[in-house]
Amino acid sequence: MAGSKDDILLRVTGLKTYFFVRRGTVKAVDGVNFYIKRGEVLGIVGESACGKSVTGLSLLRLVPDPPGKIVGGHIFLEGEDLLLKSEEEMRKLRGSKITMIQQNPDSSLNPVFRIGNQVAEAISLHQELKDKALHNKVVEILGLVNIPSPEARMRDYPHQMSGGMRQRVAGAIALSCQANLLIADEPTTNLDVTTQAEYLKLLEEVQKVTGCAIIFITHDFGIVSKICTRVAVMYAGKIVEAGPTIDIMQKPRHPYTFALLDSVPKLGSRGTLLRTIEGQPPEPVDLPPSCAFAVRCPMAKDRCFKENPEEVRIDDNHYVSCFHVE
Amino acid sequence: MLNKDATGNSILLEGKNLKKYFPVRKGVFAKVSAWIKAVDDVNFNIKKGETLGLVGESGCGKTTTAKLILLTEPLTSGSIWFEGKNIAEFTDSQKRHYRESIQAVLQDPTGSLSPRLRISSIISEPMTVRKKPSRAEINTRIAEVLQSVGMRPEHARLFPHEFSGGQRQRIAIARALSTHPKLIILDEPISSLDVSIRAQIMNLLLRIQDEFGLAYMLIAHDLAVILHMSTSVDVMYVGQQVERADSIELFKHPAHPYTKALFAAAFQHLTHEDPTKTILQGEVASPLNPPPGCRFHPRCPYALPVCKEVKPEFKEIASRHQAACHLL
Repeated sequence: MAGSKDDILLRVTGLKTYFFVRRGTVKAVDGVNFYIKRGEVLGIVGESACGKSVTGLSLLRLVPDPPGKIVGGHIFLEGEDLLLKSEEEMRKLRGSKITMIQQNPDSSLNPVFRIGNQVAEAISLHQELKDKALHNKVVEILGLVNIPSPEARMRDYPHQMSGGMRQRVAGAIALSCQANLLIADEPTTNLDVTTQAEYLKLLEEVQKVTGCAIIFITHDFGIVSKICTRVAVMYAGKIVEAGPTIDIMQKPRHPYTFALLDSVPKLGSRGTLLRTIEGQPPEPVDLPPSCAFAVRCPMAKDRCFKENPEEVRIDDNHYVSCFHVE
Repeated sequence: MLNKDATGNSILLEGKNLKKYFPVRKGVFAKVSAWIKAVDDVNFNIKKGETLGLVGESGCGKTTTAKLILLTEPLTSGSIWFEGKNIAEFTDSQKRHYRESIQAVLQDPTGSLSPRLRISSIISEPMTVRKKPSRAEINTRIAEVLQSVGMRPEHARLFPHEFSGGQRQRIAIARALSTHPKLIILDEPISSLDVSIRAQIMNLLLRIQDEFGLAYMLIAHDLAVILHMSTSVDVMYVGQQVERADSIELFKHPAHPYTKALFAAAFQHLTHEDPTKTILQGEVASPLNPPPGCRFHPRCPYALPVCKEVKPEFKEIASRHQAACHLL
């Protein structure tokens, strides 16, 4: 089953999303390739401004235009290129085939409508359900995301719920139409640490029930190790390393991945100095065509400042873009 | 000596039975209808040159505790002792000296640095409150503290927006250092920073602690960061302490079920605990209406009937390890 063409749900090749601003061209996503199989959880990890959220928005074709534009590449969902679809066709796909949970539930829920109505609206856009049937469906979905006594809570306004519960309602809306691809953009960042664990468990359960594939965008390797089967590490608009989670966590090959994993406090590291990555992430305006990490990389050689490394396959499924792995 | 603990280290700051209740007012006459018990009977002590970690989630009272120490909120009851003296009895000039000795670094450096002031004014302001140093003295000190945090003296002429998040946090640390403090309160100092920058700031904090013999009170929600930086740790839940131990003892033998859950959240790939016992149901209780008995019982996977009724005592469970739980 591994590698067979049929179970690939989404394949992205050479995706480029640029923002044309006064200061120059921001290459937020610059030639990204990845795929996701049905029912798989793929993590996209990176720091702020590395292009991970723009990648997510590009898949839904929701990049604000202007200033943003998808300038190249292909996004094949079940074999069809989303970049060739009309806006009308895309609108039908959003919610029914691809859906999204965003970081902040307060900005994705409308404060003046009861949450039951907001879930119902999402359902009725894609399914012919009315009155009692629609009501039952809303109750069912709120139950699926563990809202206690959904019959009563569906009459609540967002402000009457806690942050964790609001995020679960946002999840309910995203899941209401059985999409087979869910893009989760830092859904747990605004939650308390112990609530995070509960939310991740819920996502896992929902994923088992609905069988949807999840693209999990995050900056936290801890979360990745918990729920993702594969992971792609992004830096300055490019995927620098991708592979099965265990391989990446235990045998990272790109100096950036290595440093990122190494800079986190570990058990028993008390009082010792942590290994750091010098400097700061680059401004993504007018990046050099060479390796963007070279200026912070302890292993950088002359070549790294001149050319951009190609993706090298080092294992079955493990890809790295770095001159040092050849 | 009164102000020494068992190990002989002298205690710099001590909080005794601290309480902070905020009134909730209702109706036309703004009658007090309830109290938010943000900090409810908290005790701590910070020794010279050591780091006390306060860990807990939103609403547990860790930031309110910091505000009580910084005198930005008045105490409802309890007392704070600084170098063996009760600060309630301080004269105005002693109070100014106290404020100078205790500085703070807050979570978001964009919010804590005024966008209209140059770095030089931001750093020099705390120095001029009690004394009137000369311009030359001020400039030397600005250059000194900027170098201590790994920046250049020329940066003093610039404005905060000209720096990245990590550099702004360095400036906030430089400002805290400017008055030669004895204690710096670090309220989530790295949580707004990028992952690759966090290690830089943690290293910087450890380095200057060593260099200047500073004591820290480190407030964070991430137990991994707390264990890495602290000498001793207080775990808080809804305004109360649930566990206290030396950092090494705490990571070897976390005892309270809440600490175990925080532990599992911070070291997800390393714990061997049963996940059904470490993934908590529900959310942090509200300090407005805290549950009776043990405040943690509605989320506790081990809760017994007694936990709903009787508040567990904060007691010694091993040498220099205290916890509040009926099961221990």
